[in-house]
Amino acid sequence: MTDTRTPPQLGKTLYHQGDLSYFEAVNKETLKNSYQRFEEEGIVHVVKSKDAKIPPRLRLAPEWMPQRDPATGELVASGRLWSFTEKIASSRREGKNRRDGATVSTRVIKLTDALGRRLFEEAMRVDVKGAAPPRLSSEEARGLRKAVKEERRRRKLENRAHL
Amino acid sequence: MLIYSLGAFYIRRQFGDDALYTSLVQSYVDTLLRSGHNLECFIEGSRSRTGKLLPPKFGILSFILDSIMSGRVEDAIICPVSTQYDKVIETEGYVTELLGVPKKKENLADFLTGGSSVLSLRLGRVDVRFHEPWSLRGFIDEQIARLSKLPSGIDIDWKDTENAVVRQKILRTLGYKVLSDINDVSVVMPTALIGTVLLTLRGRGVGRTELIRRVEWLTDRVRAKGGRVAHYGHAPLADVIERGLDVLGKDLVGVLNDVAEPTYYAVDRFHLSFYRNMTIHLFISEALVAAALYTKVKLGGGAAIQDIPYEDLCDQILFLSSLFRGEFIFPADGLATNLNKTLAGLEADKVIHIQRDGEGKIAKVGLSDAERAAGRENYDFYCFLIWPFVEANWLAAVSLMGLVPPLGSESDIWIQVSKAQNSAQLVIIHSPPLILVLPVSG
Repeated sequence: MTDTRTPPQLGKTLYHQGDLSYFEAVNKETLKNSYQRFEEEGIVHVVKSKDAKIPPRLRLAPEWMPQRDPATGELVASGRLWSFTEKIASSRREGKNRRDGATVSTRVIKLTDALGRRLFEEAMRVDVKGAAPPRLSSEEARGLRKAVKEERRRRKLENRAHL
Repeated sequence: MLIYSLGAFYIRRQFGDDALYTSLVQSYVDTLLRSGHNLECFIEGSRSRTGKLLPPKFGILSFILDSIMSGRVEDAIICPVSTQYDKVIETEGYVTELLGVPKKKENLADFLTGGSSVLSLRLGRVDVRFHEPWSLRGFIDEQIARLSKLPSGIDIDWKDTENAVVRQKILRTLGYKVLSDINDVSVVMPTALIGTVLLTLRGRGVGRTELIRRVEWLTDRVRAKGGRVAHYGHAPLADVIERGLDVLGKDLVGVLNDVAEPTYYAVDRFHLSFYRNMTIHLFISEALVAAALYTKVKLGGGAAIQDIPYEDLCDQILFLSSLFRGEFIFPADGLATNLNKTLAGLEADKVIHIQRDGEGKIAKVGLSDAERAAGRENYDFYCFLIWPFVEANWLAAVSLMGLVPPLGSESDIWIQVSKAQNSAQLVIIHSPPLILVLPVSG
């Protein structure tokens, strides 16, 4: 029960500290929507297994994969995915306590990388009950190749501009 | 069983590939319609969780359409209905759910007792409005006539894949028509106006006089965009606002009385965002223009430096509207038409100035002097509407960087979608402790 109170409290703190302008941004529905867009844009590939017990899994598309610094292993704040992120950020509100700049990028990237590492560690722990397998079956891999090709074709044809 | 006796019938949420089940539901709908029963369905498919309009769900509509198009049923009369409450139902449950706390299973007992506010009747005002009913047969005929005019003479054989495309097209047009009919008769409730005002202000709070002025201003804006505002009867606006604040309650909107004038402030912005979301669809085009222009405005410098070349403006708007295409319902006239209309509207409202070249084409767009003199209050309003969504998408995009496999790991590792999304929420919630405890990698 106490759990329900904790996230708002922490979120509020961050909001007041200015790292987060909008507490509302911590929003499951919007997040789901965004991931749906990323999938449609071909930024991530999502595989839905025929086996109902295996939940949907995802992976960054190779052509969107950011580089790591070969010496330090740190993620590099450049490349296609980072430009995409920066393009969103360019319309983002600049707060009283936050100026967009290199510090923000470095901090944010380190943080997301650290959390990502946990995701990968967890994904590899296949012995956990109900865990999704970290690799695709050969049938799934075949299905993916086909789907990716089709999606690429669709994106080319489709005029996605709305407004 | 209670629900059955009220005339409801159950259907599965997902049909999968079950052809038998699909034809069962189809004949059920056929029978209902043939024997003249009324059928009520919720086109949005579910209650909107964040107060926003949802895109139509085509499932049940597709069965109804099929009944008519197959000729098994002569006609059906469609009556779009809009139902609105002063108070967004069950926001509390949704807020915790959206913040990542698992959803409690809904059950009838909770619904009837204090679990929701439906029957405890603290909804404030309920507003039900009916659009003029129209014949579905008439609509189909009209659409077929319209479609067959485009290329010369499509043969109406619905088994043909070509015609399956046409059928799909009619279904989509039908869905969006019903939705836009509902929109046309729906009204903006006073609580939505108050919530919108409170979340689009700079500063901590707003005095009573200013709140009234902003609600009046917003009412005008809503009407100018073709929206409707609930009738207040003969009550003065101040009383309507007072009642609206009562409905929202002090958990959402706080008031300071020990200052020169009663001053209101948003206590729970997350909750209030549901109310703001009920007006956002009216201003989405303006908000996107504002957010695109902001890429220059935020860099500061002299007024002229903050102007944005038309090409850059279009580019960013195209980008944002594509990013938000699942988030909002955009006007149906297409990007170019709609952008020109929106820019002309903002120019007429003296929010922006437009520089045109020798041939009268738009060269640059910027904030107008009048808007700057007025403290950018119109421009800010549009920005504040869209910023939370920009930020949420930025965070989602940032979280994608975390999907790069760690050094030394295999490249082809698949992560569970729900775990990736949970982690993205975590990026913000737990960020300071994580920064502190993790060593710099290397």
